[in-house]
Amino acid sequence: MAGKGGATPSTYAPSPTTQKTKSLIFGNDDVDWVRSDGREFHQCRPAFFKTGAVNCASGSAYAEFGNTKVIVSLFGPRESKKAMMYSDIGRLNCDVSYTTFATPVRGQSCLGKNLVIDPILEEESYQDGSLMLTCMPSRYEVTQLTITGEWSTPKVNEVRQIADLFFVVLYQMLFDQRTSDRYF
Amino acid sequence: MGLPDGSGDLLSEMDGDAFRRLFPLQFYESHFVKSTRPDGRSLTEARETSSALGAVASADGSALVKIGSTTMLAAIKMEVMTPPTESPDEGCIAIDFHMPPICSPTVRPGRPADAAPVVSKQLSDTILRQVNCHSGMVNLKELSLISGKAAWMAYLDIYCLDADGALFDAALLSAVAAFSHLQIPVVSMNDEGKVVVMSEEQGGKEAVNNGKRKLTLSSIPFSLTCILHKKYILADPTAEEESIMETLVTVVLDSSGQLVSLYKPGGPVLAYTSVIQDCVALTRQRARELQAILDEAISGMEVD
Repeated sequence: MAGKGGATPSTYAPSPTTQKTKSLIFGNDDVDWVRSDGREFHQCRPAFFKTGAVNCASGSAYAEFGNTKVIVSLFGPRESKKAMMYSDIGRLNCDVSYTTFATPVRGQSCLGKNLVIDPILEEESYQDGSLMLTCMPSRYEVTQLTITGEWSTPKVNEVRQIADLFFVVLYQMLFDQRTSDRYF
Repeated sequence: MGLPDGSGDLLSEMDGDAFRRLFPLQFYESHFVKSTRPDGRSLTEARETSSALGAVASADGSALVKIGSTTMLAAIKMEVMTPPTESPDEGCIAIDFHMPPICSPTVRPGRPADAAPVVSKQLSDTILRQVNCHSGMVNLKELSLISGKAAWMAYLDIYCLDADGALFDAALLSAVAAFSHLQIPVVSMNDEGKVVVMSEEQGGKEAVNNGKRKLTLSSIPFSLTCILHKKYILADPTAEEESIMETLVTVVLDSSGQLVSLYKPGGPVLAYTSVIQDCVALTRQRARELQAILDEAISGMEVD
């Protein structure tokens, strides 16, 4: 809805074009650049979890990786109106949406000769390839693996080792949160 | 004990939660006669309210507001447009209110919430109210950059993260808070005639809007929604109260106490003059509380 009558006029963001800044971020030498937030290549951003973020939901959580912030709500279980006959399998209906002012960040990426994990958006836009790995630490099972771009076998193995460590830490955080909730 | 009918005996034996689910209206009324509400509030008391500025790093102005469990996230992104020929030295504000499926069990993915366009329209009517560019909250002339060539378009998006009643009140407060947090970027005109954000190494260029980073907010609107039920007036209803008792009155007053809007969308209860006067008086009191909460949030930002 525009402030004045008539159609919304076309607008543009006054941000400078990102291509120009690429050389500033990475320098000339591919090996020696510094991540814009001062992290090491294999270092994740500070993470924060909280369960019970949305009061009216049956279950909910808030998660934060640096400036990336996500809220999840779970509703139900409800009776399925589509089911024509009895079934002993339920359905999980997922819906993901971004706010208009959010900039999405996801996955892990490879840049130059180096592995960079937990990239910020700026870094993602210059990636040569990305790898996303989802796993269930309690069962030591990989549930999802997405690879784009060029990846050599040693590089993939390197990611697996980093991810193993990372998941153990995240899992512990989530577990601590759940136990502390129980006492409040 | 001495209850006239059989159902009364049933009610007295039933435990609280079952009573609340089966006979919600009786459950609420049993509290109202004691001048209290199930959540411990008095009838005319609003829920605890908080406001945090600057929640969204990617926006030019933002605020997270909570009234009880009702949560609103508002953010403003500034973009540049060519102003329309009939108002060459004015900018524009576009307001949108969103209710994503996470906020309530009644909103399903893929189907827009019924309440969202209503609240969106109410917000636009309240915030963009312009009488000769004077009595509105934002003077659109302050959004002008170069007369006839470039002006700001402020995109204000408000997301409901938790819908527990009084959505308009929380949305309006978050919108006002986001505008008070707004820092307009310092921009200059580049060689192609485009307006771009000034970067530090760009010393030679002259800024178009030096010293105009904050908007002057005059006559800030504050609102309070009340439920009318029988002889009772309930301020700041929860979602459960709104679903059981359907007559709502929303009053918006500006910071000088003048009436901006009065909204009573039907409902079974008809409002007498005295009831409307009571609602306005409650809103006046609430506006002072909200102004204090907003001032505190702003001064908290200045300390940082």
